[in-house]
Amino acid sequence: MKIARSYPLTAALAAAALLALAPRGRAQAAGDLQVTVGQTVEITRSHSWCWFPTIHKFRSGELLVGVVLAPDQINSESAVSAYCISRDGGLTWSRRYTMGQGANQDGAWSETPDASDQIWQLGSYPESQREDDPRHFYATLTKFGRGGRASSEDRDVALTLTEPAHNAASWLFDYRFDGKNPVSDTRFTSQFHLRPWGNIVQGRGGELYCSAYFTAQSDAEREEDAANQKNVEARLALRFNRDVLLRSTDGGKSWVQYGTIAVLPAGDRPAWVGSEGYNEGSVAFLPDGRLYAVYRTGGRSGTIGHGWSSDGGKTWTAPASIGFAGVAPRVHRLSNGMLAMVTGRPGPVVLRFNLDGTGREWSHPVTLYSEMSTRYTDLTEVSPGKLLVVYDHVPYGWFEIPFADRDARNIIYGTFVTVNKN
Amino acid sequence: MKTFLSWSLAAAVLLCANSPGWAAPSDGLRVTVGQTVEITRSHSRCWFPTIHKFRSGDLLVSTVLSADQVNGESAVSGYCLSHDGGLTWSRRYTIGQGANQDGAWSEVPDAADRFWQVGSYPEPQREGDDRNFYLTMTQFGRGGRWTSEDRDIALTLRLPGLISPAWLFDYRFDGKVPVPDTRFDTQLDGRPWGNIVQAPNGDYLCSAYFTEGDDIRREVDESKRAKEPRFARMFNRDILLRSTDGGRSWKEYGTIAALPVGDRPAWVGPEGFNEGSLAFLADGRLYAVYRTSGRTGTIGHGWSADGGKTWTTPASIGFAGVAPRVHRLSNGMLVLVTGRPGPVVLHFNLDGTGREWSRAVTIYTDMSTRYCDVAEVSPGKLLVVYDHVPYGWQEIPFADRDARNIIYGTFVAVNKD
Repeated sequence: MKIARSYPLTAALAAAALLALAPRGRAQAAGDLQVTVGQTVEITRSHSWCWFPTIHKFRSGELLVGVVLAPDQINSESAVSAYCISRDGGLTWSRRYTMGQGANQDGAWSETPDASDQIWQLGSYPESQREDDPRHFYATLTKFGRGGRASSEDRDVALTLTEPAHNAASWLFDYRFDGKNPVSDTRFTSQFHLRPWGNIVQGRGGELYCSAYFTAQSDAEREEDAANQKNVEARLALRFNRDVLLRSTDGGKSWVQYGTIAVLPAGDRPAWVGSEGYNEGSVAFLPDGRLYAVYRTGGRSGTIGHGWSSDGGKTWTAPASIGFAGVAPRVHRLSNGMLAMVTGRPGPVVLRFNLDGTGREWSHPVTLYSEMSTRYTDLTEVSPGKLLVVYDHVPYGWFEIPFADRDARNIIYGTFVTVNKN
Repeated sequence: MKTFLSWSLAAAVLLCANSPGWAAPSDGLRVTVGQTVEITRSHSRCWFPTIHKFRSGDLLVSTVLSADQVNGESAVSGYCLSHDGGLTWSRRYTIGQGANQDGAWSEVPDAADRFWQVGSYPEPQREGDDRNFYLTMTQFGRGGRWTSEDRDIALTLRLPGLISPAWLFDYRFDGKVPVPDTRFDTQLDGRPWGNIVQAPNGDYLCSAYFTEGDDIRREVDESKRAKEPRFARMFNRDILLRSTDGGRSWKEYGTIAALPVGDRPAWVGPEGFNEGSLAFLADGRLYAVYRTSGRTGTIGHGWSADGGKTWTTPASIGFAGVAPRVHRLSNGMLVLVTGRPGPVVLHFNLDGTGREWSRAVTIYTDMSTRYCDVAEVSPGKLLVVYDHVPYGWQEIPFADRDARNIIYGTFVAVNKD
């Protein structure tokens, strides 16, 4: 969610847009589907930052909800997160256990647990293996095991890009809005804004895949040209994020850029593509063996894009509009072969379904939450046909709850949804 | 370090510390205070450091990244690594509570060259259970490139522990406390602390401090009599935890220091016994030090000749300080680092018994919490770590875009004359 340079736009728009959202639906039909929106439970709350949830299910049955505890800034040296555990299918939740970046939404999460029933998170903002090396990085791989009672972090997981990434400034949220940015937190004033994102899925040969987005050095040059042409501040210019596929063939110890899911072509930007380029992607394996990818292009303008790969992620169809907008779209394959996608903005948190499991046609939206929220959400299938969708409630949007308001809390909610084909 | 009485005092006291010393010889010792390096900095919370040396030579400095409040559900920390003996430091790696000063840290790495940190604020194993808890044990391995956290380490107390309100720092000062952060509004206000040391038979030992048993009633009585209940005298006790199964479970094994019935000894501050630290002496005895206050009273100390089951009566060490940390050096001497009232200081015990301590060697006098630690990076060469907090316990205001909370390290050479 940390889109370098465009963040002020995203944040300001979010705060405005989220005030004018659709009412909440309790039972909605969407074509050949019967969808019932059920009970909502509170998962965790905080007077401080507590937002951007994800949800994951262990094979042993426990559910884990990850949540970010830091401001939305580029400062991985203070980025922290946490998780809660449910042992009763999501009805009640544990206290919050704190982590480094390991429970962040910024990162790629296992779609299903590994053979040891561990859920992985491949973290964002890697560091160069050698000073100024823009292609070889160390990332942190976090593993959650024993139903959430254990976790581990390997901070030297190798990540290799096929082209140099742009090294950009780190900055603090508080100063993003005072017009004097960037103000960095530490002695290290820049970092690679490279973010694995979405799901980690496993291929038939055991290899692992996830998407990641970044701005290559060549993309950064295009950004600079775009800013110069429009005579706007660099941070307000069009951006050229690209979504790529990372692959690991050694059990997650190293990840190599294997294919490019979506990159902006030379020339005019396609009309459906928002101002950010391709980012916040999510991938799924389809029943026919193809890979399917979705990705954000803007939080305000543009729609979500999608594409397919028939060769294990090496090459992809040209990016195309999915037909609706949203941030951080997360796609998951359900036990009945359908696909479910959760996203939001502009507008409420919504669920959509693809009945034939190809990703081609998507249902009308099912509205889940219309109040103040970032619209960063996730879902898991807690039992066949029963989903739990998680999202945040942030009464002050991207800003922290002021001291004077001792009663307000940022809250993570979960809403149960049952879905059946008619 | 979360001692209700200490905060407002700290901010005031830290302004009037002594000036730094650069070469401070004291009784039979040659001590040279050397270079100071910056380890990490942040505009947000960044304080309360500890330092640890892997057998591989890598150094790890931990730091707390959250406010000084009782809120285990948002408590976070970070750590930095040095691969050149402390001269230069890595970026900061974030973690949950695992790199907190609040907790007990391995004095030396285990057989796999891993450091352990047994964390604070355990949660009851069952709702309402005030004797059996789960702790988080964090391990740091591969020179800091790997960490793990086990969140179901068993802790068993002999007596019921005090379950007290959780609260947020911001509201501690508005007179309407406690304001909890989450749905869970109480927690065991107990903390393993200081060093984890290994006995000759392989058992692991560490100190911890709690309010438990009759002390709870005494504290409640004091609070009822006090004009301002939150400033009432406390009855913390320092106890010894023992693990005989490689750290998977810890049981209360002995009482290092508890306040006797009747009058409080004159040298003991208003907090009771807390923030302890342990060392095994050359003769096999255990030695313990512990804080009694950040303002009045002195540090206490005691010895155990039976592996920690029983302890000598608590006695004053003769000087004051918070969070005293004691370490045994390679030449058999003991070193103790502490501060407040006054600067960050080092004291040395030459004969390794803990009985007589040297005069203070001043390390740092500017604004600081005085929570500090020391490691011997090579024989006779120490690295003392401490924080610089320009706004004390308060956060750096938005208007001050240049200020930073900083963790420093100062090298100290020490030799017997």
